Formats: sequence, C-alpha cells, structure tokens
Amino acid sequence: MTGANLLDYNELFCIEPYSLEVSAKEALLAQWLKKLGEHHEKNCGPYARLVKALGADPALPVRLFKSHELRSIPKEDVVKTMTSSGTTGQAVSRIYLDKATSARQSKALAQIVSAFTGKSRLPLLVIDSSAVIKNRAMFSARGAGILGFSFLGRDVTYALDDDMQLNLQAVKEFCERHSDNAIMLFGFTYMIWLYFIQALRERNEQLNINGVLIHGGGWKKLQDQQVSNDSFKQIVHETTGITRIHNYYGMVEQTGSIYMECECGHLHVSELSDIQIVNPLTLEINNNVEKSSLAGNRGLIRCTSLLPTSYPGHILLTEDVGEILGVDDCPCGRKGKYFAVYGRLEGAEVRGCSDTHERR
Amino acid sequence: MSADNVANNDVNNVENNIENNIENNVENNLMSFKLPQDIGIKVIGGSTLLARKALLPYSDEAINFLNELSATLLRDIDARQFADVIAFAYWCRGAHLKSLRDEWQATQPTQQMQSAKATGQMQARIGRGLVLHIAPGNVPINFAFSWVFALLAGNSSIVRLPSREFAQVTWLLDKIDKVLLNHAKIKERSCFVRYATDSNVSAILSLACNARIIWGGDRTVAALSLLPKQPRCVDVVFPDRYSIALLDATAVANSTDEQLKRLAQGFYNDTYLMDQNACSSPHMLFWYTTSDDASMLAKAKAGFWQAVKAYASQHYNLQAQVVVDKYVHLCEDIIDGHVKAPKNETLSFDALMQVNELVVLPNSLTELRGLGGYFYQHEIRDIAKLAPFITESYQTLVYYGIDKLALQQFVVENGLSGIDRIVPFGQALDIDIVWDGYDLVSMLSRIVDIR
Repeated sequence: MTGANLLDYNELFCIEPYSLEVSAKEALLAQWLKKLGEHHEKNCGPYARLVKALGADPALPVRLFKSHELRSIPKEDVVKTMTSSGTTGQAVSRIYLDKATSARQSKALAQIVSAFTGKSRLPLLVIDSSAVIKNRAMFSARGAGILGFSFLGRDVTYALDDDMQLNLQAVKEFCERHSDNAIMLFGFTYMIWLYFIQALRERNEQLNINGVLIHGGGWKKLQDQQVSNDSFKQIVHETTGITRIHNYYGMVEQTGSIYMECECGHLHVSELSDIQIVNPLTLEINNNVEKSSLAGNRGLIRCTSLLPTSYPGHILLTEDVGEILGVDDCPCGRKGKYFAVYGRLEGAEVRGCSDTHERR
Repeated sequence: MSADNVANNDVNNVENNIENNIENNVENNLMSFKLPQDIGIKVIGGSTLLARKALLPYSDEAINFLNELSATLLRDIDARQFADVIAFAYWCRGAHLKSLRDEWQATQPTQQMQSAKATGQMQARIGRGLVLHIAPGNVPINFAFSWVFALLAGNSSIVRLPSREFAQVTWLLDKIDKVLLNHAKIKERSCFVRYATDSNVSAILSLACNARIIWGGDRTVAALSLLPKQPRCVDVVFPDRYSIALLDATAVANSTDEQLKRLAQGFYNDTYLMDQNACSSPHMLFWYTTSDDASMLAKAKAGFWQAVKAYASQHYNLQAQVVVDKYVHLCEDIIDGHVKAPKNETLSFDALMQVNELVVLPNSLTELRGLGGYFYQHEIRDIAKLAPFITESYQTLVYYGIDKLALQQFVVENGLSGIDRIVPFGQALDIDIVWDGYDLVSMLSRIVDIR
C-alpha cells in the first residue's frame, strides 16, 4: 500500500543498542533515509514540494508543524494527535500518529531506556500528577512522556496530587513496598525540581531511594534559576539518595527515539536516530565525517529519527544549540556519536516600525 | 503585555479615574494641562505642565528652537555614533524648516490673517492644541520626528517613548532638555513619558487631547481606537503597510559598477537597515522590461543582487535566529506553492539574501513579506498590470530607471486606493512631514475661516 511497508523495522530493532560504530551507522542511515524519504515524498504533498524545491532529505524546521498540517497517512488512519506544550496564546505543533508509528515509538523508548535500566520492569514513581494523562483526547508532550514511560514500569505511582502538591504519604508507601528492589523514577526536569525536590527540602524530608531517575524536557527554567545539570544531580542525590540520574534530550516531534545521558554525562545517539550540527549562519551541515572534526563545533541540532512514517518528521531542524563531543569513544563504552545540548537559540532583536507593544 | 489589555480595562473605572484626576487638578483649565500624577506615568523629559494654547504652523518659536537643537546635535562628537540622530538633526536645520514653511505657505489660500481685508474671504491655520503620541517600539528616533511634526503644526505634545531604553533615545532626550531651557514656549509644549501598556494611562490621556498620533501597526491602532476620546479629537494612525520596488531592467543592465553599488547601498538602507520590518521597506521587486532579450534581464538581476549581497555581507549583522526564521519562511512559501525551483533545478537557501522568483503572482501580494533579507521578484511587461493588486495597504513604491511622474499618473489616473509615496531607491525610510499619504501639518492644525 505505502512505501512504509518496504521498511522492515524488525531488522532495525534487532540491532543491539549503542553497538554500531559510526562508519557502520552511516551506511545504515543512508539506506533507511532513502526509503523513508521516498515514502514521505509519495504520501505527503507538502513534503514532496519541499523535496522538489530543495532537493532530497530537507530538514523540516520544527516550527512547520505549528503552521501546517503535515501527514503521510490518510486522515482516517490517525489514532493520536500529539501537541507540543506551547505556552498560552502560541500556536502548538500537531504530530499525527497512526497505530504503527505510535507502537514503534513505544518500542523504541523501551529499548533505549532498558539499555540504561536493565531489561526487567521496575516499579515506577512518576513525579507528576495523574491528572495530566486523564484527558486521553489531548496528548500533550508532557502527557505523552508520562504515558510512554508508564508502560515501562510496574506499580505506577504518582508522586503529586491533582494540584501538583507532593503526596508524601504515597511516595513513602511506594518506597516501603519496594524497599528490597531498585525502582525507577520519571518526570520532567523542572517539575521534579519545583514540586518534588523543593517540596521535600521545605519539609526537611530526606529519602533513601535505591533507584534510577530519568528526566527530560529541557533546562530553560532551571538555567534561569542558575541550576546546572551537575548541581541538579547533587541536590537530587542529597535529598533522595538517588545516585543514578539520567537526563534525556528529546522532542514531541520525534517521540521515542530519545537521546539518553550516560554515566559520563554525555547524550548518546542510538541506532534509531542521528544528530548533525548545522552552522547557524548558513544552515550548512558540518558534514566532515572525520571523527576529530565532527567534535568541537557548536551549532543548531539537526535531528534524525528513523521512526516516523505517519508524518514527515524524520529529519528536523531544531532551534537548540549543541555540539558533538565525540564519536565511538565515550568512556561509558557506548558506540556512536555523543553530544551536549546548550539550550535554545537566543531570540533575535529585530528592528522595524511595527509593534509598539512588546512581543513574546 | 498585549495591546488588548489597554482596551479591556473597565471603562467606568477609567472614567472615574479621569474625573478624579481632572477635578483634583486646579491647574487643568482651558489654557493648560497638568500631567496627572500617581497613575504610573514616568516623565523622562520636557515639562509636566503643558500649554493648551496653540501656535501657528511653522512658528518662528518652533523653527528657532529646532534650529538650535539641530546645531547642538551636529556639533556634538558623541552624536556621530547614532546615524539616526544625525539624520534627525539634519532634518531639523533651520534652513530646511524654512524651505518647508515656504513650500507649505505657497499652497495655503493666504499667508497672513491681515491680508483678509483684501478679498474678504480668507483662511488662517492654527494648531489643534494637545497631541498624544504613541511612538513605535522598535524605531528609536521616530518619537522625535513625531513630536517635531506636531510642534511645527503648532501643538503641544505628550510623547509616549518606546519602552525599550535605546541608548540614542536617552542621549537625545538629554540634549533636548538642555536646549529647552532657553525656549520656555517650546518647553511648555513638550513632554516625554513612559508608562506600562497595560495601564489606564493611554485612556486618561486620550480623553484630554485634541489629536492622537498612533504608530506601531495594526494591533496598536486597534487597541487605541477603542479608547474614548473627545468628539473633535483627530487620530492620525499608522497601521501596517506594504511596500514594493520597481526597476527598469534595461536601466539596471546598463548601469556602471559604481551606479550598481550606489543602487545596492540605497536598497540596503531601504530594507536590511530595519530588518525589512519598516512599513516602507519593499518586500517585492518588479522588474519592468518590454524587451525579449532574456540575457539582458538575467544580467540586470544578477548585477543588482550581486551588488546588494556584497554590500549586505559587509554591513548586515546576520543573527542566527533571523537565519532560521528565513528558512522557516522559505519552507512555508514552498509548501504554500508561492515559491518553486526552476525546472530540473533545486533552490539553495541563501542565509544572507534569499531571493524568490515568483512565476505566478498570488491574489494578495501583501502576504508575501520578508524579514532580514528575504525578497520576492517578478517580471512585468506592463506597469498597468499592477493596478489590480494595489490595495489600501500599499504605502511606498521605490523606483529605479522609471519616470516618477508616469508612476504618479498611474496611481492617480487608475484611482488606486494605495501607494502614497513614490521615491527613488535609498529613500524608502526617509520620514517626512508628508507621510503615509497625510500632510501632518495640515492634519494637526485647523482652519479659521472668515467670510
């Protein structure tokens, strides 16, 4: 029916995560991107126009998902529409998922996370409110993240009540129930900081959790409060006893194929994804495949995910600034590229005679 | 804060507030206006007690003051860091103002009231009184021109400055205040303020003034026009406009390198200088040709754009966010069908200067707007073909190699509702007393008619 049928995802999921060196990875990517590109070109008119005008494999700016309806499947095949957590008044991104893409995203997330937490399902404490996922009609990025992770754990327990207040009793009971096992905690970086860590500190509560914390969603609000990844880790450890803390980089436009932070503090590219660094003043890719020259250039992050077939979001130009730190040689032992993210591109100051009232 | 908040304030509340302010203020009478206190107005310069007594247009007092201000600015070495301040200072030279006065008086039915005796039917002009200015947020020195135009029309002004504290605004206000010390009549007609957009201040001042000058585009105009004002209050509004350029291809192809360089510099000043955000910055360039010589047209375009790019690469501070904005814009234009690659070719995105060839014109050209060096071009063989596109939104037509009188005739004879300015390349942003189709001195003064 569609080109998507030509893509054998089993083949991709069979690869041991973080096992491929970059040379082998490049070959795999080239082969997959060709097929994915053809699929979207055939099934998504707007994408086909972009390919015709700009050439093969154009990077779609993430903002396009706000202004345009981009689908590579018929409307009736859409089972979920994910929206970005845009602030009030701003347009939100709309990501259209069919059954296959949605299932593939869950599978990818499980595969990537289990490479860090182990194969068995751990008891899961979600540092958020269950209210976020009660409304299944609306899949915000936050709801989608919680739901995605909740499939990976057992005895899923929410640490915050509907008013985002810490439910200390539920947390303590949860820890009690699983005092013999390692547990997994998941949440959004800022929510964890504000509603969990600060609430514990206010009450002078000291937990002693044996577990692994996985968190994502960005650092902007914490950067504003001068909280770095290192100080976050330290204070979380002091407050909860947790020693294994992994940040991840990901976006609603490429759910599933997230980039996990390893024990050395580096974000890793899996077999399901890739990143490239783009010169922000020309938008040209730093395309040198020499390992040494890939590192050390800050620029915009161009994200590739091999997962999406229901919407043309397999190659995205983000507005995040990052840098490739190295290739195949992270001390943690994982192969492939590893990188760092430095936050959002700073807004421009533009001149002009419009707008007496400030924007943004 | 959004502009809507200005309008959404409880009207009753505003009116009570105004009554209180006016009642409590014995100094508010027909002859003067005391700026209300304790309502969140921060006075940055000028006087807080304003004369309501109008002056004649182009009064000697105003011209003498501005001439002294101009000389003070032009003498000051520090002014040289601000090109926009220098342009303002040149504009305010006494000689220039006097020539403007002479031109203006030549268009008036009479020059002096005394000469009424001669014919028995004479008119005199006088300022309207108190003018409120809402200056645009992003063009630093525009507030000063707005104030000067009102002053030359014979009015007192309360000027709301841009909220961003531009260095040249602070600097210029300091100089203005110093020169005002020697000019009591002008000082009591000038007041420069800042206040929060979500406050009641615009509402309170709107009720007190005889005219308002509202810059800042559609949203600001819409928000301010919802506020109650005196029935006779005149609004001069500057909503969002759209501007285009028209070049004679043969003239460009025949230009020397030196001429092209000047043309490019002019175009840069018209566009890149304000990130293409000014109402008078052209977004769309029409290449006019009647020749079938494709190589001539190609030569003209290549020569022009090469010269623009060379100039922009030396002068434009390209910001990463603007590059991304332009790339997003290009993708949107491609998806929306506005921009296509030539047959069997692909486009390459040019981060500094993106030029899009439009094969077919969309119905509404005003949707095609660029930012920070993003342009559209199209070839036309008959200028008359433009007529159906020109709506009220069109402000400036920038020309090169084309007879300006013919262009003016094109607008007038076709009865077009748009195009207020027809100016050569390089002058698109030159603000003047005639702006957006208004003669501001006439708009801001009234006629005393006798029979």
